[in-house]
Order: sequence, then C-alpha cells, then structure tokens
Amino acid sequence: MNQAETAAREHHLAFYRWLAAGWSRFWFKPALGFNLGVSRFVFFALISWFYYDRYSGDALAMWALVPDQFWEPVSYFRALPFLPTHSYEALSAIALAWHLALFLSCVGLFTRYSTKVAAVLGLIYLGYPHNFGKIHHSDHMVTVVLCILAWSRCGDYFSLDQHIKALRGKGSLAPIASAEYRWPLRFIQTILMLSYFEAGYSKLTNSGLEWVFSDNIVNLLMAWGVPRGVYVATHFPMLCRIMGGWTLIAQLMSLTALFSWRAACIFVPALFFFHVGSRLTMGDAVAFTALMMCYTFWIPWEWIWKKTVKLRQ
Amino acid sequence: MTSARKTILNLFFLLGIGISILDMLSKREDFPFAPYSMYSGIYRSEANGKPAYETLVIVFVTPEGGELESQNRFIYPFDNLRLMLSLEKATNDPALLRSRLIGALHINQRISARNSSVPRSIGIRLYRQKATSERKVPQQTGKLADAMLIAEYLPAKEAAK
Repeated sequence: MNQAETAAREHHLAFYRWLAAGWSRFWFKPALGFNLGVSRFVFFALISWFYYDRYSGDALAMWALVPDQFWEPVSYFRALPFLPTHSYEALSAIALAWHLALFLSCVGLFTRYSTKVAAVLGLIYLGYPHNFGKIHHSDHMVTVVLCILAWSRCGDYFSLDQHIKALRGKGSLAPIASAEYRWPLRFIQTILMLSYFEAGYSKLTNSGLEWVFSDNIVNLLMAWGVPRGVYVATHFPMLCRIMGGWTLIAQLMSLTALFSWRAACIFVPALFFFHVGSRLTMGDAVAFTALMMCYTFWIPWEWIWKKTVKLRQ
Repeated sequence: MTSARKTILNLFFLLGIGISILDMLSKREDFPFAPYSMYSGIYRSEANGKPAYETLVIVFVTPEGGELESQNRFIYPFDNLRLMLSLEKATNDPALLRSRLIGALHINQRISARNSSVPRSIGIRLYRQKATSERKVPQQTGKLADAMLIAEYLPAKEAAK
C-alpha cells in the first residue's frame, strides 16, 4: 500500500469515526430523566382522555359486528390470524385492558410492564379499524410512540414507581443523567419529523411545485366545503398559496429540527400550527388530534420547570 | 447502558427509520408506518373555477322511497370514507360489491334500531357523482341529482321479483 492509499484509508476511517461519534452523541448523550418522565405523563394523560372520549363504550368491540366481507387485513394483521377478530367480548376486554394500561403508564405505576402492555394492546386497538376499507393516518404516530416508550425507562422519573422506590430506600429522587433518558425522546422526535418529510416528499414527487402555485389549495378548501375554509378560499386565494408554500417548506425542512435548536424553534411550531389551520379550514376529518399529542416530546419541560422556579424566586 | 442493549437499540433505530424511508420511496403502507401522501395530489378546477372530481356516494333508501346520503353516525363504527373506499374496491367484483352493500345496510339497520335519531332505511344505493362545491345534497324526500347508479340493494324489490 503506497502513501496516498494509506492517507485515503485514514481519511475514510476518520470520517467513519466522526459519523459513529455523531450517531452515538445524537442518540445516547446522557440526559436527565425529567423531560422523558414529564413527557410520558402528559402523553399518556392526553391519549387516555382522547381515546376514552372518542371511543368510549364499545367502539372497538363494535367492529366485531361488522360483516366479515369488509375485513381486509393490513400490515401485521395479515400475519396474526390468531387474533380474536369478530369477537365482541375479546375486543371489549382488549379495550378495557388497554385503557387500564394507559392509566398506569400515565401515573407511572408498574411502568415497565404497563407501557409494554399499552404498546402490544395499542397495536391491536389502534390498528384494528384500519383493516376495514381504509387506513386513516391519525393513529400511526401514537402507535409508534407507544412501542418506543415500551422499550424505554420512561417511568424512572415523575412516576409513582420512583416514589415507591425512594420510600423503600432502593432509589433516589435526585436526578441522574443517563443515555436511557435521551434515546426515547430522540427516536420519537426523529420518526415524527420523518413523517412530515415524507409528506413533503410525496407532495413534491406527486405534484411538484404546482401543488403550491396552482389553485390546488383553493380547490381543496372549496371541495371540503367547511364554511370557514370556503371563505378563506374565496376571499384570500393568495394566502392559500402562501400557506401551501410554507407548509411544503416546513415539511421538507422538518428534519433540520433534529440537528438545530433554532430550526426546531421555527419548524416544530410551524408544523403543529399547520394542523390547527387544517382543522379550522377543513374540519374534524383532518384533525390529527392524536398526532398533535405526540408534540409533547418536543416540549423542553426541564427548561420550563427551571424558568418557572426562577420566576417564583 | 450495556453494549448489547446499545446494539439492539441501534438496530431498533435503523429498523424504524428504514421502514419509514422504504414506505416513502415505495409509496406503500405498513401500519404504523406510511408514506403520508394524503392531499399530495392536485385538486383541479373546472372552467368556471369550481373544483370537480368524481366521488362515490352512498345513499340509504327511506321507507317513503326517498334517498338519504350516508353520514358517519348512520354506519358506526364505519365512517363514510372507509365505507366508500371499501365499496369502491369491490366495484370490479359484483358479488363482493353486493355482499358489502348488504352488510352496509345491515349495519345501518342495526344502528337505527338502537338509535332513534338515525332514520330507518329499507335499501341502499351506490352512485358515482361528479362533485363540485355546489354538489346537490339529497334531502330525505329527494333523489340524488347528476349521479350514475352503480349498484343497489333493495330487499323488498328483490323479493317482489
């Protein structure tokens, strides 16, 4: 091997080392558990309320009464023929157990087990209705978040488990920094931002810039027919193009929020308010309320807590 | 954190990111991952500036012979979009379409028996309609305008035959 080849090899090795160090720092840089603990509490509280409110009673079990000819299994349901499909009692039991697991995960009791139960049953509860005709996209992110939290140690802080451990003298209430408290937040943030990038990519590849610069948004709002949206489309067609353009920019730039705090301050609220705007102009059908609840993992709870304490002093 | 756990987590990250990217590039759905391509198409307008697109419309036939456009609460736990797509997928298979129409009517009749605010129906029709922002919404006594009938299921009519 000559000198030039050795130098090139060293150069490549240095690049891979830099990449590996960056990857490791991104996922595993030690963090305190406060952010993850509070996010867990808020997220489970919100989705417990949302799904109980939305699907209270026998909502899941009602699918068991839908005739078999509508059943079109998707994704992992194709590989799970043993699922208790079309059993009213089984689906009722799953719904009840899921809501109980959500509550326990929220208060942080038996969190290691309750989050796993919430994830497994969530895959059934949230996925089941998608096997009938159409996959709606509002539950996807919640399902992913449940699976990520099931693998995490999100119950170490801001939980009953933590207090019970401290009372028994087996743990401490004092915060300890660990990589275990960084990666779940990072992973959820990554998948969330990736979903917006995918949406932007789809718009660009399916329609190109015509998606922004044509009458597309005006026509969309007119077609949906929500009075507020129709008013905006009729009176402010240019605003529709500007909002469409900003949506596309925010979606395509969403991944930068993972690497830059400044970008996160711009694009994360922009994407959140994109949902607010969609709901106002297009109605409940595009609410994505459950997805919006996943933004809790972007909130810097520790920073807010410190600021609040400072203000009180 | 042990190195074994770190390795498993790295694989977990790669799996999540990998499926997301794969779905994005291949435009396929792998719940709970998706390409999120909703509303990525262009809504075209007609010459007069009103949007036009074809849509399926499900209507229930009332005992008086009128038509009532389906609403989410008529077909719970289905919603209109789910049921519409479910029927649309069956339009090339008359037997499947018929069985799904029968199923949809049974769902509606079960709901109306439980809930007095849901009108009673004696049949179901599926139309294809060119929709605009001024699409005529049928009243309980009216008939759906400017629409092409694709299929219907009227048990009383079939029994009379």
